[in-house]
Amino acid sequence: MGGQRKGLLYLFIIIFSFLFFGSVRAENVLDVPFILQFPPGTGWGFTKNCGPTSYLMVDSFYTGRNLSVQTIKDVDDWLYLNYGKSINNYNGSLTDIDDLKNISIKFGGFFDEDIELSNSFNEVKSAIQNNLPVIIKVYTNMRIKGDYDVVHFMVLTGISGDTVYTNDPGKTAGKNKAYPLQQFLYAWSLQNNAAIIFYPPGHEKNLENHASNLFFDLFNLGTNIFDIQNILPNDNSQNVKGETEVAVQPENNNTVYTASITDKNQTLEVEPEQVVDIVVKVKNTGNTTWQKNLISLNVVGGELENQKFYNSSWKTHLRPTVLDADVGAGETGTFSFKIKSPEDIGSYNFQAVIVRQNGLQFSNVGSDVFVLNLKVKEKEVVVHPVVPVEENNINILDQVKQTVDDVINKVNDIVDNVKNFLSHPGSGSSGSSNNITNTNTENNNNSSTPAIEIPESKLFFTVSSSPSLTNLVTTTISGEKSVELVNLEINNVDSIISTSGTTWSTELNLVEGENDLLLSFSNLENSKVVTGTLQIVLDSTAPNKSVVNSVLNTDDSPQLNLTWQSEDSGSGLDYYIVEYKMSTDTDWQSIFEKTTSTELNFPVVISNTYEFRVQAVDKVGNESVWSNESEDNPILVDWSKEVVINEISYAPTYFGGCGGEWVELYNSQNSDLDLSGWSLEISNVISSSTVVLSGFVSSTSYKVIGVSNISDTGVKIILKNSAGKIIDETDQSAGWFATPSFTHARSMERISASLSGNSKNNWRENNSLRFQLQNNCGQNYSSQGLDNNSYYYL
Amino acid sequence: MEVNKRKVFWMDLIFFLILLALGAYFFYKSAPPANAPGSGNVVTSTSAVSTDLPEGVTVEDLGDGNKLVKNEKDGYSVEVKNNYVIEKTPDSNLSVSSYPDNNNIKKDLFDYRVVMTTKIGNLDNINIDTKNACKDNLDCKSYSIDNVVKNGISWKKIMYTGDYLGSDWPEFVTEKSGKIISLYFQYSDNSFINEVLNNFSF
Repeated sequence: MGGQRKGLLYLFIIIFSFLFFGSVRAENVLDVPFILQFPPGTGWGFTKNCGPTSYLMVDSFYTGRNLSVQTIKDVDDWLYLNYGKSINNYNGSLTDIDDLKNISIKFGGFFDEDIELSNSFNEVKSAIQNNLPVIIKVYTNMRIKGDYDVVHFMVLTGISGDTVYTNDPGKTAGKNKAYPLQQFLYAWSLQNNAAIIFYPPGHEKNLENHASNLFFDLFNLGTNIFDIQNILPNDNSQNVKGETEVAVQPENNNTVYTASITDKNQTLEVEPEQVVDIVVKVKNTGNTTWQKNLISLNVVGGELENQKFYNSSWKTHLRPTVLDADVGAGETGTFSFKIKSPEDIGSYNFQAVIVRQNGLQFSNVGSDVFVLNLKVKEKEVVVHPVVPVEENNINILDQVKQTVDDVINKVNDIVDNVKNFLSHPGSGSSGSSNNITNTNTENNNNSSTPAIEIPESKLFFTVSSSPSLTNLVTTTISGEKSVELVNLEINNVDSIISTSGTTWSTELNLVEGENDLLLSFSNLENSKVVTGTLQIVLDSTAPNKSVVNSVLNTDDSPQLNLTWQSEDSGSGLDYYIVEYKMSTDTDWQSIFEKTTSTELNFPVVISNTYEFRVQAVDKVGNESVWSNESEDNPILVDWSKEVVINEISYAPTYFGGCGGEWVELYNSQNSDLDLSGWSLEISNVISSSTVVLSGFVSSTSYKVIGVSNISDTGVKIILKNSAGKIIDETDQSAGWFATPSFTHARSMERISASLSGNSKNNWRENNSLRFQLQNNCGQNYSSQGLDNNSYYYL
Repeated sequence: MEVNKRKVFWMDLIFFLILLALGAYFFYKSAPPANAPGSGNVVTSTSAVSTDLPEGVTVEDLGDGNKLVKNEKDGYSVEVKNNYVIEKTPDSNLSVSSYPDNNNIKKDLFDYRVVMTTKIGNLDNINIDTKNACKDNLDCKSYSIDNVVKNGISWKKIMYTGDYLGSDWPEFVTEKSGKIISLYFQYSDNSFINEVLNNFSF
């Protein structure tokens, strides 16, 4: 019996183990990488990136690619360029199941068979149990708040008992966020049970390849076969492939950006996978100057469609290049870039449009489309004359053939000349024809007076590497030359050259400004000279320190109107670098990395302190000192404060309890002010009120405004003029700056009218004691109607 | 020896029963929910794409590019532009929505909208109710209640703030004849909010 019992026990343990581990598997929650849908965008109240973000989480689950804000931006850009979905300051647009399918296949690396649209709970549950992530279309909070929730995508990561787990991109704590199963089923049903099950990318193809292997691990396929172009930037490639935000350019309503493309239809015959240089000429038909880094050429048709043309020199996979240089209104500029021809023989159309970037917004410039028809032919295709092949691309056989042809021609020339010499004996040699310019002199074979010449080899030199403009006092120039030329004089002064037969180089010491150089190469005996001229401009002087001015504008949203200016007496200014930082920051932030603009309206926040600095760079790269060098210029942003909130009594300040509650204003101007239509707005979290003012306040005088029931715990007070413009404010809604423990009535007074009303250190408790017997109310603990900087006793 | 055998027997039995209980528990936990349907469609959707209106709501084209939305049941009306879409929400409330393409409306994929709800009650406890609502929402970090007067109507503007989708969406509530009327703006900018509030009347 004992043996039977033990047998039963073991049997049960085995059965129990199956049940236990089975249940553990059922409760497994997939570890799908998580990222919030905001940022990018302007705020949680506007973000619509849940669909793209959910897809990217699934993508990362299979590929291990890093998730970043930039990856979400890439999808927004792609949706805009391919489906016209608004980027909306990278808040994105709401997406549907079809959009996610398109993103998965056309933007990402999934194949059609990897995507299964499902409306079945059993299928979804089965997928989760098989470690397949599922994107579900539901509502925020699983619609627990009814109509207060909106349609929302999440990644389903687990189902266990009466709970579902999701990666909810709409919540900071959204990783494996648990929701009640019933709530999920209800929210899901309102979206017609829409879901996408994601199999590993390319899983069917690999299953075919490995069909004979019964134990092939399905879930190892993803990383091996996900061989699409790496569309998501990593840390090393972000500058190349990812778009970066640029500072928003100020513009008025009259600014027009439009363009026409010259020769917008081009045809080119190329070899397979040949890299060719393309130049697109565009005319700025608008009324404003294009900044070169803000106007770009973008491909049409999306990334996958243009992958066959992609070259690593492109700015991004969608953006081959930006303008070569700034282009003024009415001027013509160029886009220069390389494209790679497709590998298959055939005819292809490469299309691109001009796009302007402003902040995070992209918009078309003009409606012209550049179309390049590439005819890809077999090897014998002659290199197209318009497009130079990449340098050093001539193969070695062609070089050998060319050299042999040259030698044969030379021998033929010599033979012909010897024949001439023999048939015309007695003629002298003209071999001393010195002073040969850098283009070879012609032999004077005049038929009427036939000169018999011993042909001399053509002497030459070239300057292949020399700056026309430089900021280096000592500059090296180099080139090629005939072997016989071994001496070099520059401006009749011997120069030391480094030579290896046919190449030469030498160092020059330049003087500031234009350097006109006469180069004279000669042979060893100085009997043969070849000369040439060269001009190099030296500019080693940095531009002047920029002068930066700022004007605070609080008429609308507070902003600083910044202007800056520098001068350069040499090569001329090329661009400015503009940076700022808050007083609390240690690092400077870039506003413009390169700009030719000299002004900017910079949005600011009242009570913050800003610093700006500007550096000018000239055309040879000389950098001026920063504009703030040895002169810090912090700018404290505040309201205009013609009249300030000067003293506050949130409880009667008379010992007898009379006198009411009031706010005292102070006119710091030299003239009287009419306060008609002005207002005081007094508010805190739970209440607000507005007091409309009237009457005058004299110059450097005070006006006391009676206000009923000012909160004892603190308020925010805003003073506005009759136009609604804020003149001054003090935000003490989180608690009064002084007299925090309210024990008896003392007013609170501002220390300085010129300093911010939001600065806690600018307020103090009144320390006066006055008797005002006329109201028969005892002592008054305030400086009501009087200067704050005096103490009043009796 | 007899005693020891008996002890061993009871310990075996207890161990067996514990295992049985644990096994039964996990077996129960791993079973699919009793109410989960066996077929594909779990719950029949009740929100088929529709443009029908809530009970008591009529829409009148004013001929000047605007339309007048009247909720006779709750006693208010609002004048809005013709390109806005007037809908009944899944909870049978009235909504005014802007869609990216009015010729191809995909239900719920609006640009922005306002949901208008009405319920019996007053705003006497709005401060404590709002405070509790924030407290009950783990994502809510703070809230605010502001007084706003638009088109002669005093509104309380309630906003909850936190790091979650829907944060900072304003809800304007007012009371009229024993009812609380609420306008909840989703993805909306100030111009749309002002447009609705300035044209809302009882």
